[in-house]
Amino acid sequence: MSSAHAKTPKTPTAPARKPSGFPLGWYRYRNYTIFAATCIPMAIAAVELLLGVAALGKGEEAWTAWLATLSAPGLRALNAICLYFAIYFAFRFGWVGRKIAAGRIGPISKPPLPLSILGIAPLGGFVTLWLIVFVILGGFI
Amino acid sequence: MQLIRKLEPIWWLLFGAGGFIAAFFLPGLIIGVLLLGPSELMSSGLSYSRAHALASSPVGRLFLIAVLTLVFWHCAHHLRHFMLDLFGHAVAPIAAYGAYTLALFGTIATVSAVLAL
Amino acid sequence: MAEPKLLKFEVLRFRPETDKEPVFESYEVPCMEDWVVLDALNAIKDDIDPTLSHRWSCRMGVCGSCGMLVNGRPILTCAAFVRNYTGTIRVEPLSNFPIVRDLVVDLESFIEKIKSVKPWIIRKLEKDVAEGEYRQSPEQLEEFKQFSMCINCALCYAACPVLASEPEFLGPAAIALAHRYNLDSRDEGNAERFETLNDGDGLWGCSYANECSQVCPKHVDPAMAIQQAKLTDALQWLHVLPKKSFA
Repeated sequence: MSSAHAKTPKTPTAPARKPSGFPLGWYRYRNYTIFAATCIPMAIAAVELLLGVAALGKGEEAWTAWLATLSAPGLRALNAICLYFAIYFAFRFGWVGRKIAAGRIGPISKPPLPLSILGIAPLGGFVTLWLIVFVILGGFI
Repeated sequence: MQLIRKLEPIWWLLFGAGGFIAAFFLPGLIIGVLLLGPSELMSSGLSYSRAHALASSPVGRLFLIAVLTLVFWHCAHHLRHFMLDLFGHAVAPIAAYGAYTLALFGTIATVSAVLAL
Repeated sequence: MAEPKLLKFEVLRFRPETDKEPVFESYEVPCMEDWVVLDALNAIKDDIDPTLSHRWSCRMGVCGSCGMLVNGRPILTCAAFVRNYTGTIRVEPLSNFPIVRDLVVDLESFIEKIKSVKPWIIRKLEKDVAEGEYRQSPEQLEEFKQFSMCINCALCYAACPVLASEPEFLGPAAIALAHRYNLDSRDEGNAERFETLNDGDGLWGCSYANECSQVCPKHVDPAMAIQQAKLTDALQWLHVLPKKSFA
């Protein structure tokens, strides 16, 4: 840096202005904020599942009671909302995964074939696994 | 806060792993257990004996611990950044300590619930 | 020859010697059909208000000087065609940067962040010129070429919501540039950039809003570079990977 630059006094600046439309005003920022907020419904679903595991450990009565509470309309609605945001999260998160897999990570310059298949077809990869989980839980095979 | 910042790669790796686990398994679990659990369709699959057998098997225990704890850590990290987006950097310490403490509670609760199966 | 159309512009003005804070001023500018916002700003300065200050140079999207907010969105004004906007066109300086004057922002922090990632080939031993050039295959070039396209226009910094609340965040361009050099087969400076990147305000401040990649005029996709850098850096931090280029 030349001494002339160092000595030139700076004029007072106006403070930096925030990006327009954040967090909810503009559609892309809004989508990002919704994506960030998915942590809450997902955590709620995880806590409910945890309570289910705890009920399972307590015995048959606790398990039946827990399943009965799940059928309350309020909880049904809540869980439907949690499902929506869990799926929204899955697809947007899959998009991040594809970005990471697109380039070199250390010695791996291209993602291995199984991962790249999942990357190319999030619909295939995610939905397949959801169906597998559903089938296992229901004992349908 | 320095401690939190020193361990940033760990928080992010847990976030990433938890995110993949959540993306792969959470919707299936929500549909199968939380939404359709009480229904006729799942009544034999999720009967107490079968559910308990599935959950208390070694694979089942591992699955439950992995899925629930990783989802908790994922949500914690995401919640921390969500708070930063909404409220700015002033809340950085409480957002970080609060979120990860909650995840820690979740982890302890999960492990003890699974061990009690 | 087509007639110029009168278009309304609202331009944010800030004169530090007289204004306490920035204020919008309206101008009616006769614009040709194929004009860009930069043409209109130059017309304002030439014919209507010579006190307007704005940066520009190449007027063809390669110098990165003319980045501003047009209707709230960061864009190179030489690439913002007036026919794509309806109604009053609002022009403001880039967000997330202090305003020096009118549409000119203080980019000092941006430049310091770029410098801090050591964006040059670092080698332990330079090859003697007589030994010839450093050879690099097209495949090796492809690995980092996209990330080398940055023109330092700072649109990504204006769009980043993390920078809005944390001005110390390294930012998309700097991190993408660091990753570009870490991926370069000729470079051996991965370990030197590690500390700067592996900071709460470095890589780990990014929350993948992806706005940086959406506004980038050169399709650098800094968000993608940052996520790849995060995984690489995390594995290096765990000592699973050594701190070097594998390209």
